[in-house]
Amino acid sequence: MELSVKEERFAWKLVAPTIILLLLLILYPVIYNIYISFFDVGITSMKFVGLENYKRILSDKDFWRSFFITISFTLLTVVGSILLGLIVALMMNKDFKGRRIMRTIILLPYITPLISVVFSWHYIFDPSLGPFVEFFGRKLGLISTDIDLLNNINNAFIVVSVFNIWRNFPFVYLMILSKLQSIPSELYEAAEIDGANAWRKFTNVTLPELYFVIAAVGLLRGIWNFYKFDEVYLMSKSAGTLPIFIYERVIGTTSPEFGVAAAIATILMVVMMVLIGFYVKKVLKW
Amino acid sequence: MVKRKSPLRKFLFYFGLVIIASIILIPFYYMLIVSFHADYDPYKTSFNNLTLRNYAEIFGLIQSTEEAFFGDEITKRNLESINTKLERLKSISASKESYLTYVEETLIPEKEKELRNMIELIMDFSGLTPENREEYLQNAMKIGTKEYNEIMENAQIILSEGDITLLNDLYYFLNNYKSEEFLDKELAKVKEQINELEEQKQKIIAEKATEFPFLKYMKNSLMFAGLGALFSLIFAMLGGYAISRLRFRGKGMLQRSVLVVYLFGGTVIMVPLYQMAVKLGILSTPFGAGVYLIIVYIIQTLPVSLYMLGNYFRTIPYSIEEAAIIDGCTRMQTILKIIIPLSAPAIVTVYIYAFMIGWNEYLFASAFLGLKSYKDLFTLPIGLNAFSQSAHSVWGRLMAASLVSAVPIIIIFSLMEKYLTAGFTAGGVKE
Repeated sequence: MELSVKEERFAWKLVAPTIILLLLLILYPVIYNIYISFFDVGITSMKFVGLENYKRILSDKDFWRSFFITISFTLLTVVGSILLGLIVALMMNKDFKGRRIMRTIILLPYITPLISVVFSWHYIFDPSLGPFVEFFGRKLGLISTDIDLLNNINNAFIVVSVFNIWRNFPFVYLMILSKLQSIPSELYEAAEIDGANAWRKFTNVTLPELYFVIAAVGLLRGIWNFYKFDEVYLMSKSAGTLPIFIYERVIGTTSPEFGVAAAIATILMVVMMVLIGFYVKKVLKW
Repeated sequence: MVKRKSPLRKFLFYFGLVIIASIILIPFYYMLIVSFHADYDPYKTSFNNLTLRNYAEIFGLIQSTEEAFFGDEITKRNLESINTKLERLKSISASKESYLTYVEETLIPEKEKELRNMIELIMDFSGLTPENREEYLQNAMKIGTKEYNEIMENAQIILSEGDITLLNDLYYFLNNYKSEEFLDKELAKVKEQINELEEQKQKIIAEKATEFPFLKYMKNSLMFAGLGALFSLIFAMLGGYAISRLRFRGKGMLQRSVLVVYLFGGTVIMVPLYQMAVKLGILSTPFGAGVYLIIVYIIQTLPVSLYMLGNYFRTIPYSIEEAAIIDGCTRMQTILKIIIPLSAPAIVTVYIYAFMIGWNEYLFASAFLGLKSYKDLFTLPIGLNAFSQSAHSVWGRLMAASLVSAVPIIIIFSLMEKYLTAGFTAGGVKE
């Protein structure tokens, strides 16, 4: 009795800094965010406006546009990075010459600091100097030579998605590969005895074994990409996903609308929670 | 299981690998090429000559001077116009004689024409129609004549106060320019102008030299990411020990907090964190903004660090610790003397993760530092991004800076690949 009380006191001393920081800088801000979403926040004053901020956002065409861009961006990048990650993981699960160097190469996009790779991508898609327009436009004549893929509201979203897949597929690859390596070889042997060809082995053994890791990775990538700000913003400000929508209303403006931004963030959070709940129930079957 | 592979399948396999590798490496290829080849002409569309200048410049080995303005056309034009002005002013003010010739040859005709125009204007407005207009004008331009007095009288009625002063100045100039006293005064004015222009020139050169303080950005990034990761690590070691070894109420809650932080990405807490800082007045000083940024980096990385370290501590056999406790160590001593040395690789891994998150972070740095323009505290991401949008941005320097900020991370990663990839799959690192 005496000892367990002592132990509990000691434990609390150890976790105190963590808990204080979490309460102060995660929990409180989240609640405070919901609170200010009901106010018209000025520089010095706060006026209660009830659901006015929400009404304004939900009737704002730009918001809905941004919302659907965010959803499609998330879907596209999650599916894209899972497909690419799966293919690469399947290839890397075989033994071949140069596998070690390939391992390091594959991880490069994911580990290199974002700020280092972003300008190289800018350069590739630059309309006047970029090798992309140079090759596909001037050499092959497939696209118009004065196309600006990065700063055009209609195209930016595609380039940003491609960039996001390029950058994040190594994460998916790592998760899938570690699961692939733990699939017992007896399963494949049994399938072979039953006369399964390579494709049947893949669909009947590999995929079911990978189901949960793919679902879990999809969830993680989905959450991260839904909230993704820096990769999108640094790649192109015209991509117009919701995090950028919020940022432009608070930081990138001379008359910040904190109330409106807080309301969007709250909506984002609620949508995310509903989606996660649905996903966990239906896909992960918890 | 031995498999026979047909040569075609083998070829397709390697072909696929090459395609994937090249897609991955293309951006890195251009990073290298451009940083070693791009020169300073922003209108050039292809780069030829190998150069190390981009690197020398971001490390501050070459300072911008008047001669080497680094191909920046805008700065070049600004400097050139100042230089021509300076040259002209210096040549005319070399001596009193040269200044006098300048006055007589250039200024006097100009001033005379100006005065003439003014007098004609006054004449037209006040309806003066002398018989010989030219003679009247000539006389009116001399102080003290009858015509002069007439013009001045009319001027009082027609012209505004400012214009009258101008008129008086013109008269004064034209009638006194030969006097010693006047020349001295004018020469002093010219000297002052020269000084002003020199100052302007120095300012442009200085601005150019400090426009992209890459090393300063790097130092700031090291400081913010390093300190944030350090504190995060310390708190995570303490908390991780409690979670893995001790029983206490609320343990489950704390462990689940990792998941909760996944749910609240930076975007959701950015608005309230910023609003809180503004209310408390933290952002009004650079010091406050910097400290606040470090605290936010700690909170961003703490839950993941806690989770990873807690898991690692569990793998250390409790019997070692027990032996130490029997030998008379306190709990705190066992943490410091047994747990921490035994989990050194995990601690280094966690530190690198936390550091990388801070090193990459853009949103909060731009909100806390960028908005108030604390340029001295800019981190690499916001500094590089701001530079890429400035009029003077040059690809070569941008790419060199990109490469230099990537190399340390890539080296650390390849040295510790085993530990770090294990960390990725053990729970995923928060982004």
